[in-house]
Amino acid sequence: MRTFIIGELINSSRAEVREAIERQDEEVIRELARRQLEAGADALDLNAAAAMEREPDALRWLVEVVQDGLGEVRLSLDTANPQAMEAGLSACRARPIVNSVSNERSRMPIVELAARAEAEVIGLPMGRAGMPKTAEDRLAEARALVEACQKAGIPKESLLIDVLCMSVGSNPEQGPAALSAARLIREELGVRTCGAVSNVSFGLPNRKLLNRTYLAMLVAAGVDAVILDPTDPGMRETLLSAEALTGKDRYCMGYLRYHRKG
Amino acid sequence: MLEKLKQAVLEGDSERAAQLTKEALEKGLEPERILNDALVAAMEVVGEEYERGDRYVPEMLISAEAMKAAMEVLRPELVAAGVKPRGKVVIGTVEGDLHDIGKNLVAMMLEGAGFEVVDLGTEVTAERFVQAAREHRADIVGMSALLTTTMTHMPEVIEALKREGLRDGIKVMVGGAPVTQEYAERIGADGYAPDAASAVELAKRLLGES
Repeated sequence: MRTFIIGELINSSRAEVREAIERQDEEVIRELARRQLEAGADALDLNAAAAMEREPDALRWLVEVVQDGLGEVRLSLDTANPQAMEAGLSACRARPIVNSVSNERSRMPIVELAARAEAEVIGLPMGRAGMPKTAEDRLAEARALVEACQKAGIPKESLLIDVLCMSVGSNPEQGPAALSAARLIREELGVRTCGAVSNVSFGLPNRKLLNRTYLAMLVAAGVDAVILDPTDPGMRETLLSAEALTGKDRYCMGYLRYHRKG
Repeated sequence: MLEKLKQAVLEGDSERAAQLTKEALEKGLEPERILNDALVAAMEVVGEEYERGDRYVPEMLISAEAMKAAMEVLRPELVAAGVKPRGKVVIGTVEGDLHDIGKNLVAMMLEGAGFEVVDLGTEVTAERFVQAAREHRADIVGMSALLTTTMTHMPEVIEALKREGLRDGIKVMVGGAPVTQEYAERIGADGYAPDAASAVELAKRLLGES
């Protein structure tokens, strides 16, 4: 089973995207979407949080702009704001991905929206007892979250539990904790997992090297989906080779195709 | 001797830092001099190097640990000698927000600069900020937020301080990825800092030092 790739570039914490939202510059957004899809993204993450009080309109605008240019694309709506989530969901043509829910009480309205939209859901295993430190902390939070989601009508199969990759520069134990969590959550709860690598290198030099090395480790630990910049050749090559080496790329076809295209 | 202690903190050697502090005290050096000329001086270098990009987060943390180890030996002596901290800072991550890396770095660097820091942790409500500010007679309240959805709690804390009549005697500083200078001004905070080293500079400036 290939790793599901969610492209992270359309995020309003990046100046390019923030400015494009302000100017309503459709071409910048579409170009980012196109480049990520060409580089192998299966879905695109959309974040308009920097628009603040105008976030609901901004997120809906992002959804429409991407779909108008590129048709039925899988989109991951990245917001903690229920109004923005609702606005974005209402515009999605393909099955949406809700990014994200957690055990924090403030996220419950988003759980309900996700259930109603029959979306796929990224769940952060945190919020009952602060930020998890160990793999076991993550498992306990994940267990509670899976239950809460099921109660709200989101089946286990629709969930992707984020293993929470955190800065090893601040706490070296976080590196192995997220990797072990991927195995634990799959084995104990039978749900899929995902990971976003870019936090892991915070505060350290040559972040790209750390990010892509950790990506290979996450793939080996068995995460089902990753959130990253697919247009970064290093990322892409690492992902392809990690998949080939862990039996996720049947007959290494993905790896070979990439090799021929150069 | 003090130069060696400073070096031990810079290298992040906790054991040596504690040992050298003990030796310095036994030699009869004034606790305040040990604090300022070795420990605070070392952390100033750490801050400068970090700002320049010559020092990375783990190297900052390991120095802060060494500073802490030295402070444990030194603190009773400072108290006995009646040395006052540079100022008192109550710090925390705002309600609904669990991110603590940046906040912890700021707390460490402030301690390293000779401030007394009361760290309230994460998900700190306006009520708890106010309560702690009153209880500890804080000079500064520092707030961190890493989410656009939680930074909106910052003005609530400032309002609460006003309501309780504490705002005039307290400086408010804010930081965190989505926070900007412009936002700090908009919500009526006294200052914004983009990283831990500049947070120390800001705290000094807010208390009228340079």
